[in-house]
Amino acid sequence: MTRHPLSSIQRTLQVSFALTLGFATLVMGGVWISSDQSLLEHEAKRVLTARADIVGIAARPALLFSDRRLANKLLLGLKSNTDITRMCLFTADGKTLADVIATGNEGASVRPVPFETSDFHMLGNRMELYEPIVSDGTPIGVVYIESNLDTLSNSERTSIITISLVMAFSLILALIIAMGLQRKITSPIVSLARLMRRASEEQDYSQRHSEVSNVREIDDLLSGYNAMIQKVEEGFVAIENSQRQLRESERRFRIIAEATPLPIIISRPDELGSILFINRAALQLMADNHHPQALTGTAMLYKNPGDRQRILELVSTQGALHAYELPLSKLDGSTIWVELSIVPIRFEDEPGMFGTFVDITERRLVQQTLANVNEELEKRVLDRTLALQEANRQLLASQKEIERAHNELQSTLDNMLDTYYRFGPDGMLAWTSKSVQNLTGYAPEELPSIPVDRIFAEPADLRAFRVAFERSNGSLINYETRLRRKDGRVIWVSGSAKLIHKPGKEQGGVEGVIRDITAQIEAKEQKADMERRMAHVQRLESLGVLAGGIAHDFNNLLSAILGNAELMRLKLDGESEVDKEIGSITVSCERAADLCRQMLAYSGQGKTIVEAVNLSELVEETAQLLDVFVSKKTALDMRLDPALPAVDADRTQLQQIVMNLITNASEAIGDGPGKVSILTRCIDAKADDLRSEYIEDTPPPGRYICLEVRDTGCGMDKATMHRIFDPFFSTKFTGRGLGMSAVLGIVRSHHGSIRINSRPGAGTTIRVLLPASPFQEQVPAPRPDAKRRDAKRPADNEGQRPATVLLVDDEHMVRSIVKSILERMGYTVLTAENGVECIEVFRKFHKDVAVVLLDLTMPLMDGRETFHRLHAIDPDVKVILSSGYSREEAFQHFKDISPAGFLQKPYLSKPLQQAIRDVIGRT
Amino acid sequence: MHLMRIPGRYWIIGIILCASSLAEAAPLRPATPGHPRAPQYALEAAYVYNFIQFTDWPAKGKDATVTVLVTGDDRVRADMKDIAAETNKSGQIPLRVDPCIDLACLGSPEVVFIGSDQEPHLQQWLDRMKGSPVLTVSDIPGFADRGGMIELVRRQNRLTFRINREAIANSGLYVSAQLLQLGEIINEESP
Repeated sequence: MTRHPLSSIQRTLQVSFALTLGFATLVMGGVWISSDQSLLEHEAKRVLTARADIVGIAARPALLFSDRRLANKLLLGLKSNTDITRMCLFTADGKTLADVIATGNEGASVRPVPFETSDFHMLGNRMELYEPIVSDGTPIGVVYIESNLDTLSNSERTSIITISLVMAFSLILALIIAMGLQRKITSPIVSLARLMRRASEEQDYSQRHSEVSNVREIDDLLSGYNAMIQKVEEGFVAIENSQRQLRESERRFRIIAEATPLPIIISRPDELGSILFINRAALQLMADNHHPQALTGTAMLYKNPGDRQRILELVSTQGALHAYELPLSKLDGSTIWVELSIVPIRFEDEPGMFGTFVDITERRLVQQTLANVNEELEKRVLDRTLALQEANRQLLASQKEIERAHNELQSTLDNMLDTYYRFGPDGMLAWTSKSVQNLTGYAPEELPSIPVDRIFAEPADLRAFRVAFERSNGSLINYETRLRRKDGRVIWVSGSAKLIHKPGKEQGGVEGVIRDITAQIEAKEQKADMERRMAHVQRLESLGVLAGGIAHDFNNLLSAILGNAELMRLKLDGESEVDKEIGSITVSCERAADLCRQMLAYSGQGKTIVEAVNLSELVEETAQLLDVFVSKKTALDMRLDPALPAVDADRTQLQQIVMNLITNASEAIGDGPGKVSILTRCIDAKADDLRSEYIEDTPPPGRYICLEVRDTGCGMDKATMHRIFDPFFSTKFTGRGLGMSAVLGIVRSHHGSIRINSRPGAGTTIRVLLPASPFQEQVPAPRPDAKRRDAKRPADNEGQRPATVLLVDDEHMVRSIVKSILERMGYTVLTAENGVECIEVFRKFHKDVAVVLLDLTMPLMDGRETFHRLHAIDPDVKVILSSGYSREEAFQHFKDISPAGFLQKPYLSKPLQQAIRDVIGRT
Repeated sequence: MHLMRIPGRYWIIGIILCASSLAEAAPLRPATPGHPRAPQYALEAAYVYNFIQFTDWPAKGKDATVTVLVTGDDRVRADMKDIAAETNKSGQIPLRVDPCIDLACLGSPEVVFIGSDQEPHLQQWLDRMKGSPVLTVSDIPGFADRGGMIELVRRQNRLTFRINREAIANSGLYVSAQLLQLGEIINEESP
């Protein structure tokens, strides 16, 4: 249907522009006039308000003084104004002061003007304004002005005319411009439309638009049209060529299809399968070329009627069908098997099915035969497969059982503390349990790559193991050896090794178990060392006890000998021929007493007076005394710390240590040249510094005073060092073997430590550590001996009655000698041989007894109990205790009250006299 | 009767201010030989002239002559006469200035100025004119309080006036509000 347009684009645009511009102009004009009228009304009100203000100002005096005449005069002055039609002045209370009607309105009916304070009205053709008048902030009245709207109406009329003219002019101008614009836009479009109409009506596609537009979109449209018409023209040419080629192609197809021996049928996909083309091969196969006209369609060729429908569906879903085997019926009724391929095509401008097929009747027969043979073969294979699967299942079950047992065994071995190992026949490590990592530090997977000699601590250990293994006939048990861990630490292990025998093989490797016994070995060694040390210490202690007992008895004996010698000397008055021999007895006794002191010192019982001692000063004093003992060729090198802290010790015993050590050092050098170095210093000693193999208890770490004596002498071997502190052990011809024993005893009793470092020919260093005093940093110069100070004091009461001394001792010899000495001193002496007798005598004569000389160790009643009983009888009793033990040992037995003095056996007459004087003097 | 136009109010204010300042600085008119004139009296004469302009007498024609009677004080009268001569010449309000020495010469004037030397007889003058449409003016202190209409007062070197509205109202005279707002009202007119 051809559609005829009613209007051109030019006409449409012209009408549109005219309507749009007209509407816009009307709207703008309306808005403008409306706005202008509003402004004019506002202006009229403003003018009216200004006039009211002027009247108000002028009328203020008239209102103040209610001057009607003046008010009327004022309003009449404004009467000539053409706009104002009426004016009134009201007082503040609403009374009319003046009311004037403008000229020309006098004839109009005069209506009363209502009073209002402030307002503005637009009423039809007039305006009304009430404006308040104020004086000094107080309202004094209201002015009313009524104006007509003549001026306003004139202004509005003028405004409307002006705006209308401007709008009309603008509209005309806009239309002219729009026309020009429209022409510019539509001209090329109209030209293009004309070209297109010609192309469509005359099918002349050679026309091109040659104009150029300045408008981009129109220019694009024209270019697009030219390009499109070019394409259309080319398209038509291409279609024509294509049709020609198609016809040529069809002709060739018919020639080829006719000539090919392959049967080809092209049919319609309708119900009959009407044949569009069938070649000669197809006719010959299906109709034997005799009755080709009987073949009306392909549907009749299908042996099974359902095959055709199924094939068409397959072609529809798959797009084509290839090598589909099916039976066909020939026109003579016989059946053949074919392999059919169908492709849908367009043939002679209608849809068709292009089918080719091959006669496979003979091939089908061969395939059928082969299928029967294959079926038999597959049946046999299936039977055999089932038998094999059963065998596999049984094999798998036995493997799982083996694996489970293996896992259990491995878990057991891995959880053992001991390490299981197995070497293969090749000598390589085949497997270890996991604990090998704890034992050696190597991971189990690392070990096979580690040479065996690296695992043993030393090559000798490996050799010893091999020898032991060979001797054990392949079964070694509890063999102890050393291994080296990965971190280099050596450990002791106890292990077993067993040769593995496998049937049919000469040797199957070695397996066994290893256990870490390092801790056991170390404990065993420590125990042996401890036992050895304990035996040594016990030996030293038993020797100390023995030495102490001997010294105590010796002291009693020596007291007797010394006392007798003293008595002999006193009786002979030094004039005798035997005086020299008596002196020898005294000297020997003193040496024996010195031996006793050393023995007591060794036993740890020799300590007497504890005081703060500066070891440096002590060494210096002692070294001066030793000049005579030290060889002239031996140099004494003393490095003494002058600011040494004190030691709480017995001064005499420390001196004994210094003397013994220096003397020993000097004697080790002998007569040749050498040097003895003596060093004192303060150190912060650790446990290692204080550990000594000669003292069982290691003192606690802390601040210690170190005395070190080093010589360049002959040194000692280990055997000598081991026995150096044994009593009576000496390497010297003249030695008594008690010097070093005493040193050890003194150091032990002072809670110190001693160490020896020596080698034969390399000299000896002995280091003594004594705890520094916690109370005194440094010791002042030694105090003068208190006894010495008191020596000048009169000891006895000369010129008075002799004092009485009660002498108590179980040893008759001591008793008689001391009694003689005391009597020679001028004392009266009472004696008692034990505590019981002492108490009896004291009860009788306690008022005469000035002092009691009491032995500590006695039968029946010892010195301690005797002392307490004496004290019970007379609390002021003075007792001097005598004993072979030291003062501290002896005084341990007295807690609350102590004896007034002490004499250590053996004692000479002078200390005896001094002790009695000290005690009696105190009274 | 002649009334000034509305803007005249400002003119009056200007006159009064100028007069106030001139009262201190220079005489309104040059002194004539034999009659030395003090500026204060010229100023008072000018005030009286202006009072006349804002006053309306009942039953008196618009162009009728206004008679001013000056009692006692010759100095005011001389200045008043000068003003009358000028106004008569320029065609403004026609004025006639007459002297008067006692009540006998009172007659029927529109304005009476009572000089200060008449203070002893002031009450007699006022009693005589009470209720009559005669504008009474004086510079005697307390004049307005005693029943006079306009009392000229000198305050802070400025000349001002006090108005007795009651006396004016009782006389039937009309005094414009424009004048009233410039003076000091001593008693409001009863509504």
